[in-house]
Amino acid sequence: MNTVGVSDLATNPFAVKTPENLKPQELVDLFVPYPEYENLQVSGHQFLHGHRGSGKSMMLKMMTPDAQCLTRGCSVKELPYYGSYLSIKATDINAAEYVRIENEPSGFILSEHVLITKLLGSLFLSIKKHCASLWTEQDSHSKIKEFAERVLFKRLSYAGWESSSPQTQPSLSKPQDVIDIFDYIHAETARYIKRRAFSREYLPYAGPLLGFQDVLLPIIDELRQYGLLPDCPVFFLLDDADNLSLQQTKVLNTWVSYRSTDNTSLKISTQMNYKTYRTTSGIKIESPHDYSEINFTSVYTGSVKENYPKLVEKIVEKRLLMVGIKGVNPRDFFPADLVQEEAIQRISEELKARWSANSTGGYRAADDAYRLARPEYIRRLSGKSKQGSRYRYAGFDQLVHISSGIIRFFLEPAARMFADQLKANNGLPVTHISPSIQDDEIRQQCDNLLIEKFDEMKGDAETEEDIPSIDKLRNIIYGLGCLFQAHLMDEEASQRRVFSFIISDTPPKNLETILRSGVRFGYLYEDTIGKKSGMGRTKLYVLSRRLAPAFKLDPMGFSNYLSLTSNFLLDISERPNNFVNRLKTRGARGVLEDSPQLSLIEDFRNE
Amino acid sequence: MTDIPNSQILERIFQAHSKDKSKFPRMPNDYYVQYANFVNLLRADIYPQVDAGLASNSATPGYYTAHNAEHFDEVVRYAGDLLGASEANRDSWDVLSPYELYVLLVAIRIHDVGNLEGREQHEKKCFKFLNMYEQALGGDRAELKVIAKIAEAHGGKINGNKDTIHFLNPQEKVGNITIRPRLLASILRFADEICESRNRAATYALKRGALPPHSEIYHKYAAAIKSSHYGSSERRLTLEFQLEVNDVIRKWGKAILKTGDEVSLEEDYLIDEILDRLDKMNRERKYCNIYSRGVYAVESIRATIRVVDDELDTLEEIPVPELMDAGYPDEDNGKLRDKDGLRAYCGEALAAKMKDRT
Repeated sequence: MNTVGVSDLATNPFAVKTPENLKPQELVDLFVPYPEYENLQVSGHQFLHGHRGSGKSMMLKMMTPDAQCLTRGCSVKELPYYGSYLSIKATDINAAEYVRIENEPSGFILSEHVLITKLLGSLFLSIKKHCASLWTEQDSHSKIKEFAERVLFKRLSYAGWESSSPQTQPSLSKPQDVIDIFDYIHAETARYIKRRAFSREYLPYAGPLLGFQDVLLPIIDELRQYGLLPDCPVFFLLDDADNLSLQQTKVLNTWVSYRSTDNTSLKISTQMNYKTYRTTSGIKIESPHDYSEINFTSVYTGSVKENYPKLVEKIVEKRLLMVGIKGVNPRDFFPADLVQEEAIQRISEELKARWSANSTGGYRAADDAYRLARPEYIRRLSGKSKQGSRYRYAGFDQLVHISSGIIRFFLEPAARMFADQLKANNGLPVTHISPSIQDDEIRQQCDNLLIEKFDEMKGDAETEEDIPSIDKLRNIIYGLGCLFQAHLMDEEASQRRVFSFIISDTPPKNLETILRSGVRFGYLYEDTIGKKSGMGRTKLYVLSRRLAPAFKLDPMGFSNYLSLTSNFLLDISERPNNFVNRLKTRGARGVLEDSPQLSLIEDFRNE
Repeated sequence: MTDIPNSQILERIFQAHSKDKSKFPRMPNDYYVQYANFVNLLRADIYPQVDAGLASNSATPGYYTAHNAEHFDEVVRYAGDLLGASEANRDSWDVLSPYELYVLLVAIRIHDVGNLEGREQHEKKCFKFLNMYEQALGGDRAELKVIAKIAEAHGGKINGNKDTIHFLNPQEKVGNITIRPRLLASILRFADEICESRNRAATYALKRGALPPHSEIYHKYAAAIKSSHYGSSERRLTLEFQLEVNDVIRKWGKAILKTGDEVSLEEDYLIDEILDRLDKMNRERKYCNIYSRGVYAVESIRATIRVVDDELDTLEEIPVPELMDAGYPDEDNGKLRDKDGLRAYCGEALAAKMKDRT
């Protein structure tokens, strides 16, 4: 998504710059530590799963030496760990040519070599950038020379490297010289891979082959011994590992399986599309034996989601402060529509009065009344004059809920709101964002997700066969949105606020694939809940609240879930219009009665 | 057809089984011809120089027990014994696939070649030396790397860890052929371990006291081995040591000790050296069994140590117990509840943690 009208953090506090482009001080100023951040900073291999924009890269970048030195107020030498960052997406190793070598005999060996060369190249780049304080200039020449002669050349020669070419003739005295070697080795491999792409015949590889155990680990160990790295564990911060090829992924998993975490740990972030957890020999790596994992999505939409609004609040405060807006409560900066809130309050009073008058209604808390008042307000707007779209998606709390636990989904629309407000203010400073601007932006974001994003996905589809699956996902999302809307509009329904569902039987593979891509592209979120039987747990799929405007749904707080059968979902995926027509004529409860596969709504719960 | 001088049974089995090209990653290649050429090149270029390299290039120069062509032949022979290979089952033998056999044989042939540059880290140089024979071996470095890793696991440490075989994959695909690197490495490693015999001792120099003092005990040990045999049916390694009185009544040099400017000779009795080596062999047995069990396992080591007189009559037989896994395991590895990572999850600690959460 583009950050329209947003140029820079200095002018727009909510501008989203990718963490790779943030200066260390900006990183530190903007970063609000997630509770998981502490866990990530201890030795051990870890996977960090989360949707794009959930803050994974920010967290990894915060673990790089310059950000850590700023945060801790310490020198590189005093760091408790040394984070070397590598964005897989930003490298060329996921190019199609690299995938082709997977069919070569011993392709794994070549894939490992490619990964190691990249990791070492990025480590030495980081050393060049951050570690100069560890040595004096004269000292550095002799240290690097000695390291190169006694360690690097020896290890590389064991790995088949011959330093005969003029570019790599060893006369090393600077970190850049080492970087040049790894660049040269990588270029040599890249040349082979490209040549291979043009050759029908088998073309044997004749360059060096660097490995994790025989080159990477010993080199890291010796870098510490020679004082070229601080004497602390090295963490490789591998961002967006979904972009690795299948074989590279298996190689990475093999390293994880070594559990050699005393001195070197792998911190791997994924965007919910990590290809496999199998190693090169087909063995599955498992948590907690081989690694630990943090799943951002379930953390922020699941059981501990109360942390998320607090986190967004802190982020907004920090960002406002950066542009000189001090002491403003985020709720005042993103105000709700007062008229709307008052109307909802009136409905709440009305509901309370009705419940107390009705002797069979029993006691229901004031909170309950207020919560049910919002869907009722939306229903009344819609029912009276077909003006349901006048409901305003505005106010800090609504915006937080709509962002569905992904901080970027709060910041990007906020940045556009800020730009629009600036324009509307005719040069006057922005003190708050008007509810109408908030509402417009949220609706625009929703349209984008429901229309343009699907077209984009189809355009990006790797094969023609993927397209029907994308269409089916769109149908399911549309059908579910309509189903949830029908519940909200049904005055008589016992549960009106529905945003999620479980599958009551075992889903077939094709349905699982569709739902998995829904999760991957941010239309659905995955969580788990206890089964009603009390035996084990089952997957809960939550519809992204960013879609709330499209279906006139109430995005706030807790909601209920439906228990659906696989056939029901597959039917929607094939014949969405048919389903929606039935909904229109029969209503949500009518569909329930019609469909023997659809079980009754389950108990109210916190999703 | 290229022949291998002094070929061992495993090599003859390989020759017979290599005819089926579909069992190899690259069908146009003749893997037996590759292997035979490789062995002949090593015999001509490298093997004759390994002992001289060891003697002169090691951190402690000395007269090491032989690492000549016969040593490599013997490791191939012992590997054949471990795998139950014999002339009788030459055609039907199928413990390893033909390609696994190729990988094992190449790994054995290269495993100690790094000694040419000195003892230290010799095991890490297999890939470097294999690359010298890249063309003879089919020209694919990636394949050579797989073989080198298997050969390199025969000793030393990988990043401080002696469990070198663990770092290999249980299974690995080379092209469309699956091999078992851990199994192959364990075969090589144990075959190398038990490959000690009188042939490796410098008998002439030993008799005439012409060895450097710090090398004596190693040649004495090798010379004392009368026989070494693995019986695949009983899964037992049987060793016979024969010591003369003169061998046991004095200490023999084994290392040079340097303390500051002072240089002294470390010495030990031969019988103590033998017992220590048997302990080490038993550790290797247990270790390699971890990776070979399922295909074969060496269940015990039975050693007979006799001290004999000039007439070779037995004066004393040392009662060495059979080295095997027997009896109820003791608790010497400590309890789970005392392990570092678990202490925070035991008893009071877990109770307190959970109370905090409620």
